[in-house]
Parts: sequence; C-alpha cells; structure tokens
Amino acid sequence: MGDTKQIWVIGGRDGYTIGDETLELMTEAHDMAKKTDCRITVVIFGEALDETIALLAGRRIADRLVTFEAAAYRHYDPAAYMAALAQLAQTQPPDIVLAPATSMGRDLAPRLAFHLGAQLISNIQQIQLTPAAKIKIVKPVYGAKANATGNVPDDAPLVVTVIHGVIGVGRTKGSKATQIDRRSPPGTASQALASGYQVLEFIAADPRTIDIVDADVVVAGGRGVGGKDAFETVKAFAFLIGGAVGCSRPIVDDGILPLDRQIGQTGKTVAPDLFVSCGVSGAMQHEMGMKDAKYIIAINTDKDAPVFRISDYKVACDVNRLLPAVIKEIHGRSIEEH
Amino acid sequence: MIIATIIRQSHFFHSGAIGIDPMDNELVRGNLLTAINPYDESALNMALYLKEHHPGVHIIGITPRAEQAQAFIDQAISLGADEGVILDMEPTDAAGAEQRAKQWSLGLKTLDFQLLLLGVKEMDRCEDEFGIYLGAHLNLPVISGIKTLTLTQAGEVQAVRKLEKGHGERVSCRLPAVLTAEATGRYRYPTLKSIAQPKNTRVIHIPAPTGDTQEKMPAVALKNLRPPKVRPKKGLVEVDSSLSVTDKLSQLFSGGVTEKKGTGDILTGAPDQVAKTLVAHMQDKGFI
Ligand SMILES: Cc1cc2nc3c(=O)[nH]c(=O)nc-3n(C[C@H](O)[C@H](O)[C@H](O)COP(=O)(O)OP(=O)(O)OC[C@H]3O[C@@H](n4cnc5c(N)ncnc54)[C@H](O)[C@@H]3O)c2cc1C
Repeated sequence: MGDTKQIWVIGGRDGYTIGDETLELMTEAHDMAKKTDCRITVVIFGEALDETIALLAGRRIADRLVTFEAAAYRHYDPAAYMAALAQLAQTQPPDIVLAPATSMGRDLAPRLAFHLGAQLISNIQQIQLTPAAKIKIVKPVYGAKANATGNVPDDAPLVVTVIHGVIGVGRTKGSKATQIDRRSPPGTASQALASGYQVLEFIAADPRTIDIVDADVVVAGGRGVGGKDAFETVKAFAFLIGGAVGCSRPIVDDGILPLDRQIGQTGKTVAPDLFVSCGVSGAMQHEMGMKDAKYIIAINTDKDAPVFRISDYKVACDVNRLLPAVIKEIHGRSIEEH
Repeated sequence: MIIATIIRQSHFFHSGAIGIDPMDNELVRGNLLTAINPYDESALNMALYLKEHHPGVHIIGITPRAEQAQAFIDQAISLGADEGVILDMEPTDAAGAEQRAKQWSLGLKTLDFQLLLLGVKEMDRCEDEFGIYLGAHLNLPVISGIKTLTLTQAGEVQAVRKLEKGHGERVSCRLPAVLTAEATGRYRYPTLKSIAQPKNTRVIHIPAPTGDTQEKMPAVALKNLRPPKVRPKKGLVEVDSSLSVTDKLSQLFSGGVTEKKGTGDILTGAPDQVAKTLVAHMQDKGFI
C-alpha cells in the first residue's frame, strides 16, 4: 500500500434512493482523513443522479465522486455493480472500503472483498485510523449483547460494512473540490461475481402490513382510544399519513391488534421519524419501545399524562373527536392543493 | 429435488449472566444457552414449507462437528428434515468467514443438492457474509436476505429479498443456487412421534486445512460486554438555555443526542380548531 490511503465509500440505497447512510460513511471517511493522508472516493449507482451528485459534492468531503448512472443500476444487481467496481479497482485499488450495512451493502461487500482479496469485517459501529495508519474497529457480537474491538492487520485491503444510525449524519463539511467522474456501465462481471439472478419487480412497502420496526411513521393507539370500532379511525388516520399502526399492551390483551403491533418492553422497539401517540398514558414499559422516535406527537385528554414528558408536540384533546377532524382537515387541504 | 440446509449454533444469555473472564477475555459460559442460530431455523422452515408444497423434496440438515451437533440434527429431523450430515472438520471458529466458507465448501461439494439454504446472519458473530462466500467457493449464484421462497414450474426459484423500510424485491434464479434467509419469526415445534423416530445421520470427513487454507486469526477480539452505544451526532452542540441544569448536562454529555422533549405548551381547544393547528404543524414539519 502506498503512503496515501485510498478510501472508497459505497453509496447506500434505502429502498431505491441514496440515503443518509452515504452521508454517514462520508463523515466517517472525513474523520479518518484528518489523521492520515487519505484520498476519498465516493461511488454511487442509480438513475437520474443529478440531485444526489449536487448534495454529495456539496459536502466537499470526497476527492472524487464516481457515478455509474444507467437503467442497469436502477435495482441492485450484484453482477452489474461488481463489474463497475472491478473496473474502478483496476486503475486504483482501494485500501479501505466503507459500505453501508444495508440489504445492498451486506450483499455487495463480501463479493467485493472476495474480488479484491480483502479482509471483510461486517456490521461495525466504529472505524478509526490512528496517526500511524493502524486501523481499529468496534463491532457488536452475540446478537449485539457484546462489543468486540480489535486492531486490523494492515497487510491486506479492508472492506467494512457500517451499521446505519450509530454515527449520525451531522453537518460535517470539508474543504475539498470534489471531482465528478461520470462513468458508463462496463460489461458484466466474471462468472464468479455474477449474481445469476434476475430482479422481477420492486415491492413497495405497504404501511398497513409493514413491520412497525421498519416504518418511518408509526401511529400508536392505547386504551384511551376505546374499543375495536374506535380503533378503525386510528387505522384510517395512519393510512392517510402513510404510517404503520402500533399499540400499547392492553390493545393486544383485548385482541384488537396482534402482538407484533405492540410497542414496549414486551413488544417491539421503534424509532421512526414521526410517532403519533393516541390515547396512550406513556407507562414506562411502553415508553421503552418508542422514546427514541425522532419526533413524538402525543394526544391525550389528561394534561398530566406521562407521555407528555417525552413528547415534542402535545395535544390535550379527546382522540375520538380529534382524529375524524384531522382526517377531514387533511382531505380538505389536499383538495385545495389540486 | 434435494435441499441442503445449514444449521449453526448460537449462544443466548440469561439476563444478568453476561460476563467476560478478565484473564483470557473469553465469555463466561456458565449460564449460556446453546440453540440453533434463529436465522438458520428460518431457512430450515422455508425448506420444510417447500417440502409440504412440492412432492419429492428431500431435505438434508448439515451441521459442523460440535458437542451439540447430533442434538441439532435430531431437532431438524424431528421438524421434518429427511436426513442429517455432520461435517467432521477441524474447528474453524477462529477463522474469518471467507476461510470458514472455503472449509465448508470442501464438504458441501461432496453432496448432491439443488438448493443450499442457510440463515443470512450468524447471531454470535453478527456477520452476514458467510452465504456469499459459500456461493463464491461453490461457484453458485447467491440471493441474500430472502423473506419468502417458491419453486416455479420451470424449475427455478422465486424469492422476495428484504430491502430497507419494509420494501422488497421479487427475484428469480436458476438452480443450483445458494439462498440466505432472513429471520421470519415463524417457528415449528416437533411432535412426540417425530421426536421418537429414528434419525438418519451420516458423517463426512473433511481434511484439515493446509497451505493457503491455514486459518487466519480473526481481526477482532472480544473486549467488553455492553450494549452498543449510540455515538453522538457530529457538529456543535447548542445547549438549550431553557432546560434545567440536569437536562443541560444530559444534553451536553449525550453530545446533543438528547433533544429537548417534554417542554413547550399543550395544545387545547375544540377538536376542529385543534385539528387545524395540528395538521398545519405536521405540514410545516414536512410529515404530510
Ligand atoms: C412486565 C410488564 C411489561 C409490560 N410491557 C408492556 C409493553 O411492552 N407495552 C405496553 O404498552 N405496555 C406494557 N406493559 C403495561 C404498561 O405498564 C401499561 O399498563 C400500558 O402501557 C398501559 O396502556 P395504555 O397507556 O394504553 O392504557 P392506560 O394506562 O389505561 O392509559 C390510557 C390513556 O388514555 C388517556 N385517554 C383516555 N380517554 C382518552 C380519550 N378519549 N382521548 C385521548 N386520551 C384518552 C388516558 O388519560 C390515559 O392516559 C407492561 C407491564 C408490565 C408489568
């Protein structure tokens, strides 16, 4: 390896858009470059990438932004992606590759490591480059009940996948002029790298059936909603704002929703962008499962309900009278807009 | 059609019994439970589903030589697998996933199968690359992280790969192939009759690694046992002057992760009026 470390960041895809993971990985690469001489190459795939290019180049972190833009990259296809990366590695192989621990990154990283003869460490939380260019990593083990830390031998290239959300996107900006390198698709990869499979269709998440853990928006109902019939309004509101329906334990106990919708200590832990709590008191056992939501709106008749302590927006109102009015208001606004 | 399913072991802790021996940095194994890796159990489940829906499917459960190997095979056969194979190879625990896959592939190459199914993740290692490496060493296509699986008339498999945020993609693949399964959370229980039935197990010996298959030491060593910590978001933390001293400190120490919550007014009024204010607020925030 030369004196300058070649760091690659592989752009993440969330569904089929390039997500926050890419910015997180760029932030991590930027930190590594502060201590050691590094050249950062960000590689992204997809169709119609102009906005993404402007966003990523605007961070001024990468020395080079390589884009592979074609219909072939619309879906993640290991064969097409590997052919592109293999071509890129021919001229300047990487020393360290940071890939997101997403459905794409987890699949691509080992294929790339195998091709490069690199060592792979998956699902890491942290990677550090010491001033002496030694690599240290931290990763979870035993179902994330323990952490393993270690020094990585630097006699071979290293590929890592990084867990999303542990680093934080932040506002990191560099001062580099990012060179944009637009590439067209090379041929397909060798048989060993080829996927051998074909993507038939993309299946968009349905908020009514999506796992509450995966949802960006969760609407949770509690005992304050009343019975099964009243819960239909909570479901209608959730559907209208593209949210998944969750609940507190009594709702499961009463057989209104199945256990996989329960949030809390004995249910699931969610951390959506928006959490709307409807008629839930916010008992500690429930709070454990939702307190990490980025924005919490709580609706409760009791101004002293514990849920208000952890909410960003508090509404003291009868949920059964409020939600129909909210649904009407949203419909009214969307008609006005058209 | 022959489906080979891989069965690896996982460790679970009784809460409170997690510990590391400071002398050798090893797990204190006293109260550790050993069970089939849940992702492998999910893969076995998918194989059993195919067997129930397609006549002539034969399932082989494969596990490496270990103390619990026979128990795992017995469990797989009780659940519906047709036979078990124990791969008798040198323990590869210390090796990286690629080296382990290479070892396994030596044994797997001696078996005849059309579909190799395994869990996408190994719980103990929190690793998800083993299946891809197996495919590379066996020179077979790999579909990773599938939620459902069906066989088509044309003798191909169709699977739904799990993507982020509840999305998925339907893919099709020719056989033979390697497929890695997500945890589906659906488990089966053996019947008393199936527990009592004789278990057909064979052992395949794999030569010890030599030359370039020498095990490499793992890159990472277990050091501490605590849940992963959220690292603070980058950037300056602006301390909120309206917070109490304790909240200010917790905001500072969390590096800004703790946002101001629970402060601010409570919106009250007639439902129609409140609905207007609430919807306007949600619109401002970009939620609708
Ligand atoms: C070991 C253990 C584990 C548990 N695990 C869980 C768990 O995983 N998840 C979980 O949720 N619970 C769990 N619980 C139960 C938990 O302690 C609470 O009892 C439960 O969360 C209460 O649910 P709730 O808020 O819906 O009901 P309640 O506590 O009855 O609260 C109803 C709320 O609705 C409000 N309200 C009433 N009418 C209206 C209205 N018309 N409009 C608006 N608001 C209204 C009330 O003011 C009240 O705040 C667990 C308990 C134990 C002991």
